[in-house]
Amino acid sequence: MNYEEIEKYLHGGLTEEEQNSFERAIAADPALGAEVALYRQTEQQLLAKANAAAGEAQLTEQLTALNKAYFGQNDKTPIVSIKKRKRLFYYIGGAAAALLAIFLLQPLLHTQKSADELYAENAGNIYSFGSNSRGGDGSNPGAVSFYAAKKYKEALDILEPVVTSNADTLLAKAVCYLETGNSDKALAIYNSLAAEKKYANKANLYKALLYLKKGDKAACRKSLELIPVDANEYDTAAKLLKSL
Amino acid sequence: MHPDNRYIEGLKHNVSALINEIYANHAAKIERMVLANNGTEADAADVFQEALTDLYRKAHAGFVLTCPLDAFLYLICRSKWINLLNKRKRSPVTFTDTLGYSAGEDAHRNAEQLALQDAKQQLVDEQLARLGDSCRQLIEHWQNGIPLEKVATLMGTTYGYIRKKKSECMGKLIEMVKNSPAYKLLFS
Repeated sequence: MNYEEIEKYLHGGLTEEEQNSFERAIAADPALGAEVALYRQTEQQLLAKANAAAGEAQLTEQLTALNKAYFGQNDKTPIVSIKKRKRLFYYIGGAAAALLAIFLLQPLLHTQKSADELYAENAGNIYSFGSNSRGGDGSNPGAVSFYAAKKYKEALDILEPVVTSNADTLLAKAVCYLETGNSDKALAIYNSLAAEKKYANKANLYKALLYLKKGDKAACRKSLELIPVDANEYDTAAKLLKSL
Repeated sequence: MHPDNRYIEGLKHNVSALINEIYANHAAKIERMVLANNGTEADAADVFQEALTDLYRKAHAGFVLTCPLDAFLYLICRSKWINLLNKRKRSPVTFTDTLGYSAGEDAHRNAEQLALQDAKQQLVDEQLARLGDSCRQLIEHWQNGIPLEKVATLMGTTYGYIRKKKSECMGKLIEMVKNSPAYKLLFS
Protein backbone atom coordinates (compact mmCIF):
# COMPACT_ATOMS: atom_id res chain seq x y z
CA MET A 1 0.00 0.00 0.00
CA ASN A 2 1.30 3.45 -0.90
CA TYR A 3 0.87 5.26 2.41
CA GLU A 4 2.83 8.28 1.19
CA GLU A 5 0.13 8.90 -1.39
CA ILE A 6 -2.61 8.57 1.28
CA GLU A 7 -0.73 10.98 3.56
CA LYS A 8 -0.47 13.52 0.75
CA TYR A 9 -4.13 13.04 -0.16
CA LEU A 10 -5.31 13.64 3.42
CA HIS A 11 -2.98 16.53 4.18
CA GLY A 12 -3.04 18.62 1.02
CA GLY A 13 0.16 17.33 -0.57
CA LEU A 14 -1.33 16.64 -4.01
CA THR A 15 -2.03 18.97 -6.90
CA GLU A 16 -5.69 19.47 -7.83
CA GLU A 17 -5.31 17.08 -10.73
CA GLU A 18 -3.62 14.42 -8.57
CA GLN A 19 -6.30 14.90 -5.89
CA ASN A 20 -9.10 14.31 -8.42
CA SER A 21 -7.30 11.31 -9.85
CA PHE A 22 -6.84 9.82 -6.36
CA GLU A 23 -10.52 10.34 -5.59
CA ARG A 24 -11.44 8.49 -8.79
CA ALA A 25 -9.13 5.66 -7.73
CA ILE A 26 -10.86 5.48 -4.33
CA ALA A 27 -14.27 5.39 -6.01
CA ALA A 28 -13.14 2.53 -8.26
CA ASP A 29 -11.34 0.54 -5.59
CA PRO A 30 -13.19 -0.08 -2.29
CA ALA A 31 -10.05 -1.62 -0.77
CA LEU A 32 -8.16 1.64 -1.31
CA GLY A 33 -11.11 3.53 0.17
CA ALA A 34 -10.97 1.30 3.25
CA GLU A 35 -7.21 1.94 3.61
CA VAL A 36 -7.74 5.70 3.44
CA ALA A 37 -10.53 5.44 6.02
CA LEU A 38 -8.33 3.38 8.36
CA TYR A 39 -5.42 5.81 7.96
CA ARG A 40 -7.74 8.73 8.80
CA GLN A 41 -9.33 6.88 11.72
CA THR A 42 -5.93 5.94 13.19
CA GLU A 43 -4.73 9.54 12.94
CA GLN A 44 -7.91 10.75 14.64
CA GLN A 45 -7.44 8.26 17.48
CA LEU A 46 -3.84 9.37 17.99
CA LEU A 47 -4.80 13.04 18.03
CA ALA A 48 -7.80 12.50 20.30
CA LYS A 49 -5.61 10.77 22.84
CA ALA A 50 -3.09 13.61 22.88
CA ASN A 51 -5.85 16.22 23.18
CA ALA A 52 -7.43 14.38 26.08
CA ALA A 53 -4.09 13.97 27.86
CA ALA A 54 -3.47 17.72 27.82
CA GLY A 55 -6.47 18.52 30.03
CA GLU A 56 -6.81 15.32 32.01
CA ALA A 57 -4.81 16.44 35.06
CA GLN A 58 -7.10 19.39 35.56
CA LEU A 59 -10.19 17.21 35.22
CA THR A 60 -8.79 14.70 37.71
CA GLU A 61 -8.22 17.51 40.20
CA GLN A 62 -11.81 18.64 39.80
CA LEU A 63 -13.25 15.12 40.08
CA THR A 64 -11.18 14.41 43.17
CA ALA A 65 -12.57 17.55 44.83
CA LEU A 66 -16.13 16.63 43.87
CA ASN A 67 -15.64 13.08 45.14
CA LYS A 68 -14.82 14.53 48.53
CA ALA A 69 -18.00 16.58 48.49
CA TYR A 70 -20.37 13.93 47.16
CA PHE A 71 -18.97 10.71 48.60
CA GLY A 72 -18.20 12.06 52.08
CA GLN A 73 -14.46 11.50 51.69
CA ASN A 74 -13.24 14.50 53.68
CA ASP A 75 -11.63 12.60 56.51
CA LYS A 76 -10.86 9.44 54.61
CA THR A 77 -8.29 8.15 52.19
CA PRO A 78 -7.88 10.47 49.19
CA ILE A 79 -9.38 9.17 45.97
CA VAL A 80 -6.85 7.59 43.68
CA SER A 81 -7.09 5.22 40.76
CA ILE A 82 -7.97 1.73 41.83
CA LYS A 83 -4.84 0.43 40.12
CA LYS A 84 -2.67 2.81 42.08
CA ARG A 85 -4.17 2.13 45.50
CA LYS A 86 -1.77 -0.68 46.36
CA ARG A 87 1.22 1.53 45.62
CA LEU A 88 -0.27 4.22 47.84
CA PHE A 89 0.34 2.13 50.97
CA TYR A 90 4.06 2.21 50.24
CA TYR A 91 3.96 5.94 49.60
CA ILE A 92 2.08 6.57 52.85
CA GLY A 93 4.60 4.48 54.76
CA GLY A 94 7.49 6.35 53.14
CA ALA A 95 5.86 9.72 53.75
CA ALA A 96 5.20 8.89 57.40
CA ALA A 97 8.84 7.89 57.89
CA ALA A 98 9.97 11.09 56.17
CA LEU A 99 7.69 13.23 58.35
CA LEU A 100 8.99 11.55 61.49
CA ALA A 101 12.58 12.15 60.36
CA ILE A 102 11.81 15.83 59.65
CA PHE A 103 10.16 16.19 63.06
CA LEU A 104 13.12 14.67 64.88
CA LEU A 105 15.65 16.68 62.89
CA GLN A 106 13.73 19.95 63.02
CA PRO A 107 15.98 21.68 65.56
CA LEU A 108 18.94 21.03 63.27
CA LEU A 109 17.29 22.48 60.17
CA HIS A 110 17.51 26.10 59.05
CA THR A 111 14.20 27.90 59.48
CA GLN A 112 14.92 30.69 56.94
CA LYS A 113 14.79 29.34 53.42
CA SER A 114 16.82 30.77 50.58
CA ALA A 115 15.20 32.45 47.57
CA ASP A 116 16.23 29.46 45.43
CA GLU A 117 14.59 27.02 47.81
CA LEU A 118 11.41 29.07 47.97
CA TYR A 119 11.32 29.35 44.19
CA ALA A 120 11.73 25.59 43.79
CA GLU A 121 9.00 24.97 46.36
CA ASN A 122 6.45 27.32 44.86
CA ALA A 123 7.05 27.49 41.11
CA GLY A 124 5.64 24.03 40.38
CA ASN A 125 2.37 24.82 42.15
CA ILE A 126 1.91 28.25 40.64
CA TYR A 127 3.01 27.76 37.03
CA SER A 128 0.10 26.12 35.26
CA PHE A 129 -0.51 25.87 31.57
CA GLY A 130 -3.09 23.96 29.59
CA SER A 131 -6.27 24.95 31.38
CA ASN A 132 -8.37 23.84 28.44
CA SER A 133 -8.07 20.65 26.45
CA ARG A 134 -5.68 22.09 23.85
CA GLY A 135 -3.78 24.47 26.12
CA GLY A 136 -3.82 28.23 26.40
CA ASP A 137 -5.43 29.73 23.33
CA GLY A 138 -6.34 26.32 22.02
CA SER A 139 -3.46 25.78 19.61
CA ASN A 140 -0.54 24.48 21.61
CA PRO A 141 -0.98 20.92 22.94
CA GLY A 142 2.67 20.20 22.06
CA ALA A 143 3.81 23.19 24.08
CA VAL A 144 1.60 22.06 26.97
CA SER A 145 3.29 18.67 26.99
CA PHE A 146 6.80 20.13 26.93
CA TYR A 147 5.83 22.70 29.57
CA ALA A 148 4.38 20.02 31.85
CA ALA A 149 7.64 18.07 31.44
CA LYS A 150 9.59 21.26 32.28
CA LYS A 151 11.22 21.15 28.85
CA TYR A 152 11.01 24.93 28.64
CA LYS A 153 13.31 25.35 25.64
CA GLU A 154 11.23 22.99 23.54
CA ALA A 155 8.00 24.63 24.75
CA LEU A 156 9.43 28.03 23.88
CA ASP A 157 10.35 26.82 20.38
CA ILE A 158 6.63 26.33 19.83
CA LEU A 159 5.31 29.29 21.82
CA GLU A 160 7.75 31.94 20.64
CA PRO A 161 6.30 32.37 17.14
CA VAL A 162 2.72 32.31 18.48
CA VAL A 163 1.08 35.71 18.34
CA THR A 164 -1.69 35.73 20.93
CA SER A 165 -3.46 37.84 23.50
CA ASN A 166 -4.36 34.77 25.57
CA ALA A 167 -3.07 35.42 29.07
CA ASP A 168 -2.34 31.76 29.89
CA THR A 169 -0.24 31.34 26.76
CA LEU A 170 1.57 34.62 27.42
CA LEU A 171 2.31 33.62 31.03
CA ALA A 172 3.57 30.23 29.87
CA LYS A 173 5.76 31.93 27.28
CA ALA A 174 7.14 34.24 29.98
CA VAL A 175 7.93 31.29 32.26
CA CYS A 176 9.76 29.63 29.35
CA TYR A 177 11.79 32.82 28.85
CA LEU A 178 12.58 32.97 32.55
CA GLU A 179 13.58 29.32 32.75
CA THR A 180 15.81 29.64 29.69
CA GLY A 181 17.68 32.63 31.09
CA ASN A 182 15.81 35.52 29.49
CA SER A 183 14.23 37.21 32.49
CA ASP A 184 13.95 40.61 30.75
CA LYS A 185 11.53 39.24 28.18
CA ALA A 186 9.59 37.46 30.93
CA LEU A 187 9.36 40.66 32.96
CA ALA A 188 8.12 42.60 29.92
CA ILE A 189 5.26 40.13 29.50
CA TYR A 190 4.37 40.23 33.20
CA ASN A 191 4.40 44.04 33.18
CA SER A 192 2.12 44.19 30.15
CA LEU A 193 -0.35 41.75 31.75
CA ALA A 194 -0.13 43.52 35.13
CA ALA A 195 -1.39 46.65 33.38
CA GLU A 196 -4.66 44.86 32.59
CA LYS A 197 -6.98 44.68 35.59
CA LYS A 198 -8.24 41.20 34.65
CA TYR A 199 -4.76 39.64 34.71
CA ALA A 200 -2.93 41.94 37.13
CA ASN A 201 -3.04 39.63 40.17
CA LYS A 202 -1.82 36.57 38.34
CA ALA A 203 0.87 38.61 36.58
CA ASN A 204 2.05 40.02 39.93
CA LEU A 205 2.21 36.54 41.43
CA TYR A 206 4.33 35.34 38.51
CA LYS A 207 6.44 38.49 38.73
CA ALA A 208 7.08 37.75 42.42
CA LEU A 209 8.43 34.35 41.41
CA LEU A 210 10.67 35.96 38.81
CA TYR A 211 12.22 38.16 41.50
CA LEU A 212 12.56 35.15 43.77
CA LYS A 213 14.42 33.30 41.02
CA LYS A 214 16.72 36.29 40.71
CA GLY A 215 17.30 36.17 44.48
CA ASP A 216 15.59 39.52 45.14
CA LYS A 217 13.30 38.78 48.09
CA ALA A 218 12.42 42.47 48.67
CA ALA A 219 11.11 42.92 45.11
CA CYS A 220 9.31 39.60 45.42
CA ARG A 221 7.61 40.83 48.60
CA LYS A 222 6.58 44.10 46.89
CA SER A 223 4.92 42.25 44.02
CA LEU A 224 3.07 39.94 46.39
CA GLU A 225 1.82 42.85 48.46
CA LEU A 226 0.06 44.23 45.37
CA ILE A 227 -2.33 41.26 45.37
CA PRO A 228 -5.57 42.22 47.17
CA VAL A 229 -7.35 40.07 49.77
CA ASP A 230 -10.29 39.29 47.47
CA ALA A 231 -8.09 37.99 44.63
CA ASN A 232 -8.00 34.27 43.79
CA GLU A 233 -4.22 34.46 44.11
CA TYR A 234 -4.31 35.97 47.60
CA ASP A 235 -3.94 32.74 49.62
CA THR A 236 -0.94 31.64 47.58
CA ALA A 237 0.59 35.10 47.83
CA ALA A 238 -0.02 35.28 51.59
CA LYS A 239 1.56 31.87 52.14
CA LEU A 240 4.61 32.84 50.13
CA LEU A 241 4.88 36.20 51.92
CA LYS A 242 4.84 34.39 55.25
CA SER A 243 7.70 32.16 54.23
CA LEU A 244 9.86 35.02 52.89
CA MET B 1 -27.68 12.98 19.77
CA HIS B 2 -29.46 13.00 23.12
CA PRO B 3 -29.87 16.31 25.01
CA ASP B 4 -27.79 14.76 27.82
CA ASN B 5 -24.83 14.84 25.45
CA ARG B 6 -24.22 18.31 26.90
CA TYR B 7 -22.79 16.53 29.94
CA ILE B 8 -20.32 14.68 27.72
CA GLU B 9 -19.35 18.02 26.17
CA GLY B 10 -19.14 19.46 29.70
CA LEU B 11 -16.64 16.75 30.65
CA LYS B 12 -14.72 17.23 27.41
CA HIS B 13 -14.30 20.94 28.00
CA ASN B 14 -14.07 20.70 31.79
CA VAL B 15 -17.15 22.83 32.48
CA SER B 16 -17.41 22.89 36.28
CA ALA B 17 -21.15 23.60 36.46
CA LEU B 18 -22.05 20.62 34.25
CA ILE B 19 -19.61 18.28 36.00
CA ASN B 20 -21.07 19.34 39.32
CA GLU B 21 -24.54 18.58 37.96
CA ILE B 22 -23.39 15.08 36.98
CA TYR B 23 -22.30 14.49 40.56
CA ALA B 24 -25.46 16.02 42.03
CA ASN B 25 -27.71 13.86 39.82
CA HIS B 26 -25.85 10.55 39.70
CA ALA B 27 -23.26 10.10 42.46
CA ALA B 28 -25.80 8.92 45.06
CA LYS B 29 -27.23 6.26 42.70
CA ILE B 30 -23.80 4.85 41.97
CA GLU B 31 -22.94 4.87 45.65
CA ARG B 32 -26.15 2.94 46.41
CA MET B 33 -25.31 0.35 43.75
CA VAL B 34 -21.76 -0.18 45.04
CA LEU B 35 -22.81 -0.28 48.69
CA ALA B 36 -25.52 -2.81 47.85
CA ASN B 37 -22.86 -5.04 46.29
CA ASN B 38 -20.10 -5.43 48.85
CA GLY B 39 -18.44 -2.04 48.24
CA THR B 40 -17.61 1.03 50.26
CA GLU B 41 -18.09 4.77 49.72
CA ALA B 42 -14.45 4.99 48.61
CA ASP B 43 -15.03 2.20 46.06
CA ALA B 44 -18.05 4.07 44.72
CA ALA B 45 -16.04 7.29 44.40
CA ASP B 46 -13.25 5.44 42.55
CA VAL B 47 -15.63 3.76 40.15
CA PHE B 48 -17.50 7.00 39.49
CA GLN B 49 -14.30 8.97 38.88
CA GLU B 50 -12.91 6.33 36.53
CA ALA B 51 -16.17 6.21 34.58
CA LEU B 52 -16.17 9.99 34.13
CA THR B 53 -12.50 9.98 33.12
CA ASP B 54 -13.27 7.29 30.52
CA LEU B 55 -16.13 9.41 29.19
CA TYR B 56 -13.84 12.44 28.99
CA ARG B 57 -11.31 10.48 26.91
CA LYS B 58 -14.01 9.07 24.67
CA ALA B 59 -15.54 12.52 24.19
CA HIS B 60 -12.18 13.60 22.75
CA ALA B 61 -12.30 10.60 20.44
CA GLY B 62 -15.68 11.71 19.09
CA PHE B 63 -18.12 9.76 21.27
CA VAL B 64 -21.69 11.14 21.14
CA LEU B 65 -24.40 10.13 23.63
CA THR B 66 -27.68 9.02 22.09
CA CYS B 67 -29.48 7.95 25.28
CA PRO B 68 -30.14 9.45 28.73
CA LEU B 69 -26.97 9.75 30.82
CA ASP B 70 -28.59 8.20 33.89
CA ALA B 71 -28.92 4.59 32.74
CA PHE B 72 -25.77 4.80 30.60
CA LEU B 73 -23.57 5.97 33.47
CA TYR B 74 -25.11 3.32 35.69
CA LEU B 75 -24.20 0.59 33.17
CA ILE B 76 -20.60 1.78 32.87
CA CYS B 77 -20.14 1.96 36.65
CA ARG B 78 -21.92 -1.38 37.10
CA SER B 79 -19.56 -3.03 34.63
CA LYS B 80 -16.50 -1.45 36.26
CA TRP B 81 -17.64 -2.56 39.70
CA ILE B 82 -18.35 -6.14 38.59
CA ASN B 83 -14.89 -6.31 36.99
CA LEU B 84 -13.33 -5.09 40.19
CA LEU B 85 -15.30 -7.52 42.34
CA ASN B 86 -14.14 -10.33 40.08
CA LYS B 87 -10.54 -9.21 40.45
CA ARG B 88 -10.94 -9.12 44.21
CA LYS B 89 -12.67 -12.50 44.04
CA ARG B 90 -15.57 -11.06 46.02
CA SER B 91 -18.16 -11.41 43.31
CA PRO B 92 -21.62 -11.70 44.84
CA VAL B 93 -23.66 -14.72 43.84
CA THR B 94 -26.38 -12.41 42.59
CA PHE B 95 -25.71 -8.81 41.67
CA THR B 96 -28.28 -6.45 43.20
CA ASP B 97 -29.30 -3.80 40.72
CA THR B 98 -30.45 -0.56 42.27
CA LEU B 99 -31.30 1.49 39.18
CA GLY B 100 -35.02 1.01 39.77
CA TYR B 101 -35.88 0.64 36.08
CA SER B 102 -34.59 -1.20 33.02
CA ALA B 103 -31.59 0.51 31.42
CA GLY B 104 -33.08 0.19 27.94
CA GLU B 105 -31.60 -0.85 24.60
CA ASP B 106 -30.18 2.58 23.81
CA ALA B 107 -28.14 2.70 27.00
CA HIS B 108 -26.80 -0.81 26.37
CA ARG B 109 -25.91 0.13 22.78
CA ASN B 110 -24.11 3.28 23.93
CA ALA B 111 -22.20 1.33 26.57
CA GLU B 112 -21.19 -1.26 23.95
CA GLN B 113 -20.07 1.48 21.57
CA LEU B 114 -17.97 3.00 24.32
CA ALA B 115 -16.37 -0.35 25.08
CA LEU B 116 -15.64 -0.88 21.35
CA GLN B 117 -14.06 2.56 21.03
CA ASP B 118 -12.00 1.81 24.12
CA ALA B 119 -10.78 -1.49 22.67
CA LYS B 120 -9.83 0.18 19.34
CA GLN B 121 -7.90 2.89 21.14
CA GLN B 122 -6.14 0.28 23.25
CA LEU B 123 -5.17 -1.68 20.14
CA VAL B 124 -3.65 1.40 18.46
CA ASP B 125 -1.84 2.34 21.71
CA GLU B 126 -0.40 -1.18 22.07
CA GLN B 127 0.87 -1.23 18.51
CA LEU B 128 2.28 2.31 18.80
CA ALA B 129 4.28 1.17 21.84
CA ARG B 130 5.74 -1.64 19.69
CA LEU B 131 6.94 0.68 16.92
CA GLY B 132 10.64 1.47 16.65
CA ASP B 133 11.95 4.46 18.63
CA SER B 134 12.34 6.88 15.72
CA CYS B 135 8.87 6.20 14.33
CA ARG B 136 7.26 6.37 17.76
CA GLN B 137 8.98 9.66 18.56
CA LEU B 138 7.98 11.17 15.24
CA ILE B 139 4.33 10.15 15.68
CA GLU B 140 4.29 11.38 19.28
CA HIS B 141 5.65 14.80 18.26
CA TRP B 142 3.01 15.04 15.55
CA GLN B 143 0.36 13.80 18.00
CA ASN B 144 1.29 16.61 20.38
CA GLY B 145 0.56 19.20 17.73
CA ILE B 146 4.14 20.02 16.78
CA PRO B 147 4.20 21.04 13.09
CA LEU B 148 6.19 18.66 10.89
CA GLU B 149 8.57 21.52 10.01
CA LYS B 150 9.40 21.86 13.70
CA VAL B 151 9.65 18.06 14.12
CA ALA B 152 12.21 18.06 11.29
CA THR B 153 14.28 20.65 13.18
CA LEU B 154 13.96 18.77 16.46
CA MET B 155 15.05 15.53 14.79
CA GLY B 156 17.82 17.23 12.83
CA THR B 157 16.50 16.53 9.34
CA THR B 158 14.49 18.10 6.50
CA TYR B 159 10.75 18.68 6.23
CA GLY B 160 10.55 16.60 3.04
CA TYR B 161 12.18 13.62 4.72
CA ILE B 162 10.02 13.92 7.84
CA ARG B 163 6.83 14.07 5.80
CA LYS B 164 7.78 10.91 3.90
CA LYS B 165 8.92 9.27 7.13
CA LYS B 166 5.64 10.10 8.87
CA SER B 167 3.65 8.32 6.15
CA GLU B 168 6.01 5.31 6.41
CA CYS B 169 5.61 5.21 10.19
CA MET B 170 1.83 5.54 9.98
CA GLY B 171 1.88 2.77 7.39
CA LYS B 172 3.89 0.50 9.71
CA LEU B 173 1.50 1.25 12.58
CA ILE B 174 -1.55 0.49 10.43
CA GLU B 175 -0.04 -2.78 9.17
CA MET B 176 0.67 -3.83 12.76
CA VAL B 177 -2.90 -2.96 13.76
CA LYS B 178 -4.24 -4.94 10.80
CA ASN B 179 -2.07 -7.95 11.61
CA SER B 180 -3.16 -8.11 15.25
CA PRO B 181 -5.66 -10.84 16.18
CA ALA B 182 -8.15 -8.29 17.54
CA TYR B 183 -8.33 -6.28 14.31
CA LYS B 184 -11.05 -8.22 12.48
CA LEU B 185 -13.20 -8.38 15.57
CA LEU B 186 -12.98 -4.65 16.27
CA PHE B 187 -12.86 -3.08 12.83
CA SER B 188 -15.14 -5.29 10.72
